[in-house]
Amino acid sequence: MTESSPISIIYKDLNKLFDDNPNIDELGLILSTKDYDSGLESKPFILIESNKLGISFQFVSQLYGYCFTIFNQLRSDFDKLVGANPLSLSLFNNHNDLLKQINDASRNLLLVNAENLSALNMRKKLIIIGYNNHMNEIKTLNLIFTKHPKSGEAWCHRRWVLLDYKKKNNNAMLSSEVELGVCKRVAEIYPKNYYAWTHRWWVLCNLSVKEKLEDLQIIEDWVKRNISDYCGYHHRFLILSSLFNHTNNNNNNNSNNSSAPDNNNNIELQDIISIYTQEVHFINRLITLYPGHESPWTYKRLLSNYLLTGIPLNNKSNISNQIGVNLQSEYEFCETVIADTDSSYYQQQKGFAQRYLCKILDLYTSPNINDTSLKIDDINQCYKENITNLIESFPHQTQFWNYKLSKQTDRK
Amino acid sequence: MTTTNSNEVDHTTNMLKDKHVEYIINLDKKEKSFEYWVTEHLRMNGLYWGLTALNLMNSIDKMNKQELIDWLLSCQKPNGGFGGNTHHDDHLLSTLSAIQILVQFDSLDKLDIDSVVNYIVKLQQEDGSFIGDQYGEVDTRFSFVAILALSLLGHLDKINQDKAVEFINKCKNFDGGYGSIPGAESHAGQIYTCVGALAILNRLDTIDIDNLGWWLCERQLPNGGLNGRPEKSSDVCYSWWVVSSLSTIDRLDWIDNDKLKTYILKCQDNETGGVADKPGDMPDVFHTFFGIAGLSLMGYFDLEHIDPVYALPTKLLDKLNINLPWNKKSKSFAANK
Repeated sequence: MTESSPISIIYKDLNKLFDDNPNIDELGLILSTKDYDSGLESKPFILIESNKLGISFQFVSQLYGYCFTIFNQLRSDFDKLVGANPLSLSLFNNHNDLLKQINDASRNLLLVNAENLSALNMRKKLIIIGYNNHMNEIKTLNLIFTKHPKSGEAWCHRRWVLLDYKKKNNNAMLSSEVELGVCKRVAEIYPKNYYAWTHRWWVLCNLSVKEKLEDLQIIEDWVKRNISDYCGYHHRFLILSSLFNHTNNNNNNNSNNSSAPDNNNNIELQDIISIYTQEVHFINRLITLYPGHESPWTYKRLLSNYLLTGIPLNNKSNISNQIGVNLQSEYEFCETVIADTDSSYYQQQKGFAQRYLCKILDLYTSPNINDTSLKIDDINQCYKENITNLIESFPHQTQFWNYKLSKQTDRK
Repeated sequence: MTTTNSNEVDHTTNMLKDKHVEYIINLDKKEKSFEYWVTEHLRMNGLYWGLTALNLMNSIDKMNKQELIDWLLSCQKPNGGFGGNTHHDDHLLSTLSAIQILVQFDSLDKLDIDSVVNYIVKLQQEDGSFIGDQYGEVDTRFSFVAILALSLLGHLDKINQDKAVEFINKCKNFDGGYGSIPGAESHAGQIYTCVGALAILNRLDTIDIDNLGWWLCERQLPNGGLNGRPEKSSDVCYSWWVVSSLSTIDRLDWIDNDKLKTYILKCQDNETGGVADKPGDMPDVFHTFFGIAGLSLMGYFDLEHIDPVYALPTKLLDKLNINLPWNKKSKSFAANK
């Protein structure tokens, strides 16, 4: 392809667009047709308010192919200059234009395909030699995420940028607010985004209890607006279950954030109990208000199981009782839900309640639990009836329910 | 009104084997479309998926072995790792695919095994985890991939296996499932990798089988398909990840196999061949492999049997004398009882 071929001109235009508008922060690929966008169908780019970039879909694969060829050539020029030397900016003293071109080409590739590992790695090298800085790279990634929120490779690259910054800046985090912000935005563009939530915890687990509890508050609103997204509940569980490591009488100084003052990173047992009590109310209310969703039920099952068997303290049952969770309370909760036949999505809601009840009855007969609150005349009969109901509600798992029943029978 | 062509087969009850074979062998002949460009970096993985699917349908001879091996070897980097395509950097994921392809072509002897082993061994970290390449991302997927690759090459003794198990167990959640790093949510794909790694290292005893099996069988939806996490929609890729995990812990009967079979069949494209993620979507080689692998593992349509951990035909693994105590169709199964 010649220097002045139509696609090379489009490619140059794109680079100029970025040079002239350094604050581009949103990207979209646009399908335009003659019928609806008269005049636009032949325009490769549209820029709105100088920061929203649209690329016409019909040019994308040609542009990417062209860019790919250029990038591979630049990469091989780069490797030749480096040779066997360690990476350093001085190697490029007379080749600054090469670095600018690599920066442009790799960014352009990633706008279309954020999973291009080689382009991401090349950008790491631009940071290693000090041509690009960490904050600008985070900005570029934020732009890429507006189009590719689920790119695992781009999230990896982001963590590399943050860790590299940390290494070079006395263990300081670049900006946890920016990180928590991008996770929230991306989780909204693409629900149940595993990468975004894993990243959120990766950032948060190094912060203080105070900051974790602030996050718990932020995520409460998020969960209310995303009832069926289990990621939010899992995140709450991570925060909640981390609290017991920070009680005043259980402080083994396991925080990595040595700069945080102690009172930000300690919590009284009574405060934990009150936070959990609110959580149990919160989740029960969600289940009652929005019947038929699997996620809050799955979370409730996890939370109760944790409170009844998993708290890493000796006086477990005392604590769970104070929180208001014991076998009797949970049994009654299920009974109430199953009795509410007027509820919308009743069939689903009933099935989830039966599944939860099965777990509660399992715990009653588990040898590791000493909760004697449950008052049922004939536990075997109750278990058996629940299994019969479960087979009706979840016929695909019939063999599993039968297995549960046989195990229960063996135990008695 | 639907008119039924006399030679048209009902794809909701039949497997369109011939069409899938055609679909796979023609994948490489497609022009450089948008789809080509957004997947070219995955060609090594793509070849593994396509080749294994063909192998399960006894059609591996339809591929040009010599040409593919030459291309594959051109993707090896000086450090021993393989890139996803000629112009790409090395990564553990594409390195495993390269090994799995060579095993199927009975051509491991073409490989400088020491250089690959060395590449993988260096990626293990002090805490037992593995990183995917020199840039340091940690993921339980990489633990599995490293362990599987080393096992195929006969060099598992070169890593710290106890530490590897320890790290995987740090990624176990209170619900019995596993995530990508400590704290990360349970995910069927990650569960497959963790269960597989533990199986190869002979540590299935560390799994909470009742809880994990419960979580896994809950993934089957009323349409028969499987999802990978609570309240997600069904997708054919979980026909492999959930089914293989259940099979490895010997709980495959905890889901309705017939219903899942019907769901996978509905995801077949009855015009072009290939399998899509959901009924009516465009097929791709990734879902074609996972759909066919799921059917093979459940024992339908006389497909060659696939091992739930190694994701390679059981027959081949038997030939390599690999111990598969979890695989009832393997020759080593009886010996272990």
